[in-house]
Amino acid sequence: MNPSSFATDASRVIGHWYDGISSRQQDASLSIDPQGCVRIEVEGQTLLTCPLTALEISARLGNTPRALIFPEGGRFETRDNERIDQWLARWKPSPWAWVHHWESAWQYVLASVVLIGLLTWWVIVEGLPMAADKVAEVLPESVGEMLGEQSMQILDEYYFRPSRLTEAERQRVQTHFQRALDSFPELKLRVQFRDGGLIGANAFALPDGSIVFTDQIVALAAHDDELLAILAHEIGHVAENHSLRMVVRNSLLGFLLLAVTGDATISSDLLLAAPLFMLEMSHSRNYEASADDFALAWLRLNAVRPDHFTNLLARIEQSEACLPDLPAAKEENDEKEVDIKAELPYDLSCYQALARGEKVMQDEEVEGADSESESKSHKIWSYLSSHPQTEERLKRFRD
Amino acid sequence: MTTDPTQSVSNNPSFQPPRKNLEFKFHGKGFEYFRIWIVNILLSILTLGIYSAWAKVRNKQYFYGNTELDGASFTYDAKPLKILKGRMIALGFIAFLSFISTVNPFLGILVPLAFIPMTPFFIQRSLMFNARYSSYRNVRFGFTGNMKDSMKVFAGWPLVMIVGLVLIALLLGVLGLPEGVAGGVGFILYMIVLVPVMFYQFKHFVIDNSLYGTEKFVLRARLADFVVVFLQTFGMAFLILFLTMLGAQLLGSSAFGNLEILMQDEMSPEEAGLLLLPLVAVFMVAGLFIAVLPYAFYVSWMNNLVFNKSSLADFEFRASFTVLSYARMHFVNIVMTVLTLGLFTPFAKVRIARYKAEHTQVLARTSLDQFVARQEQEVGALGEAVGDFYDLDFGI
Repeated sequence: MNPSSFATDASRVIGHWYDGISSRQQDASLSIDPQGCVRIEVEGQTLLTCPLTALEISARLGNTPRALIFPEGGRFETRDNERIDQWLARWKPSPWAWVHHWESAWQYVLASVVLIGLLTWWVIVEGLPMAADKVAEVLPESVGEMLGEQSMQILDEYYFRPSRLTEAERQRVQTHFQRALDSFPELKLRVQFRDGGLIGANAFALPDGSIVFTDQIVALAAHDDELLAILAHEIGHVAENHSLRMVVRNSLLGFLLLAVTGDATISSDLLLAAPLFMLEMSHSRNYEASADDFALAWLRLNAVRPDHFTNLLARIEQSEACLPDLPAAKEENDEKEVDIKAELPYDLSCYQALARGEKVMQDEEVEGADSESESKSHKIWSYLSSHPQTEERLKRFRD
Repeated sequence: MTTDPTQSVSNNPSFQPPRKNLEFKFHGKGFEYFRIWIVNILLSILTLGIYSAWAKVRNKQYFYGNTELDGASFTYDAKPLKILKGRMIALGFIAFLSFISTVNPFLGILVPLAFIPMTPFFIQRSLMFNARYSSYRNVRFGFTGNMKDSMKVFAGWPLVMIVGLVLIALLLGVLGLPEGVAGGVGFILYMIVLVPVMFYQFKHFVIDNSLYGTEKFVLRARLADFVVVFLQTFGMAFLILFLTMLGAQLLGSSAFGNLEILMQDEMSPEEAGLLLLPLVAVFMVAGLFIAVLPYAFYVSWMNNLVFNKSSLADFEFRASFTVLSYARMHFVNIVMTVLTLGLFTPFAKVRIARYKAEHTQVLARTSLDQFVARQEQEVGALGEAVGDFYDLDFGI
């Protein structure tokens, strides 16, 4: 073979030769003949010849240098990736060439982005809740009981005060509820009363079957059947195990985020928290809608008018005007924040007035305020609120 | 094949030629790596994780191959099948442990304890595996740290730390200092004495046991150097915390004061809240940069210390990370990664690699041609796989 016959561009690449014995770097050229036999030349001398098929050739990876490793351990490195690809296509087709093809073609890259995006979306929106619900199902009952007890302790410590309803009032409501409570013996339902303080008129279902009614919501009800309707909604939460499912979902999601963003520093958690919060809110909106459906079905079955539910719901929204002023209370108690609740006034008259159908107005509220801009900002905030827009819910009950 | 007898660098001590600065260069491009990264993820998902072993090698080789020193680039050539095998074994092991804990809850309690002596084993194996498959100019790196030392450093010293912490607590209790003061003193003692001792041990174990060819790396950093790094980092962190709180108080009181005035002007709390949002965003961005600063202090000072006090035969290393430039790079990385829902990750990795390369040098008296390769056996990938699972990462 005559070396000059290889001197054409297509059959020669230049690079470096490393013998594998020392770290010495030598300028070298590699040429190939039509039979696929390669020859290493350093300073005009032929070091080695060898068929291309006997070499181990590193996979193409971006524009990183390509290595051709000789059986004896020597290594030839070149940046001429294109030429090596041509040689391989002709003399030693690689079954892995498509990987680099995918990595260089924008169509595949775009498809990857879309596919991964869809998969991630599905995992978070469908897969994760599904898995969490399965986990929540198999968790022993004691977990729910523990969670319920703990939540009650926290609520009592920071928000609630002991109920100041008379024994007779409580007994009356309890008796009215008995029929509903008795129809779900397996849920271990217990009704409890508390002064809601800053929370105002509301009712809560805890995972252990406790259902808390605030004094304010009792005062706000014009008819005991209204409370019964709210009870049905809360039983819906307990029956469908919403709080436990929510807790498991959140911890799974947190775990997933940790696994994915493992190398993120603490500071990024702040920014991650926002979308997480939105997601939680949308989950809890679904739970509310589902508890509404549960309540509606039960009310129909027991011939309780569904508008009792909507009436009280509408009044709960109005009752925001009855909440005590926070800023004033806070300024007085700047030192000990926990004590805010102790300083709150206990006054149900505003709620009772609403129950009688009287209109209650907030001090700052001015008649004929720019109603358009107000409703707009309301819409934005309702997206963040855990309860679906009341109008939306009222509509479901009227249909 | 050449037969030149290669001369060991340490054989000519009398001759001292002028030093030459050799720069590291990083040639990787953000978008190029993005395409490799995204295809890696897709194929890993589609193959239910099997491809991840190949993905790992491609990722690593991309960064090694694009890092150039004195006209030659680095190579990472671990065999993906080996990594896959290691991962399977690790997975099987974890499955076995969780099976045990379901069968016998008492043994289940012991399972986490089993990881304490196993961690040093996995760290040592993964250091060995990584070094074995890293090379430069066709000469491999190596790691000679043994199990006994690994146990001492990664299980013994943490244990000493815990005991030390208890002793500090007891001592402060005996002195009868008020709770806040005792806690503060304890924390400072812990952070500027015990933690530096541990890092001193870690870094010496990793670097002093590393080889290039037949030559050993040497770390000359003393314990006092580590104490200084932590002292400086915590000093700066506290200073920043103090200034931030001062600034926030001033800024916050004026901003919220304005808000209160607005609220008195017939504004609903909702509208006031909307007004507050941009303010909150500004606070978050400023807060994030401030939170990044102590990290930048730590990374740049620690990195500079370790490189500037390391040498390999006649070669010395120089690192010149600066706190502000590092903080800026890291800050942009975090913000962009979050804003793009993670798609910026590969760009961030390329930015980090470029920063490292641009701020690291080798001081050379002789040519890099003279290192001699070792003859040695292969290393199993089990440690590497589990190390990967724990996401352990050691400098150098």
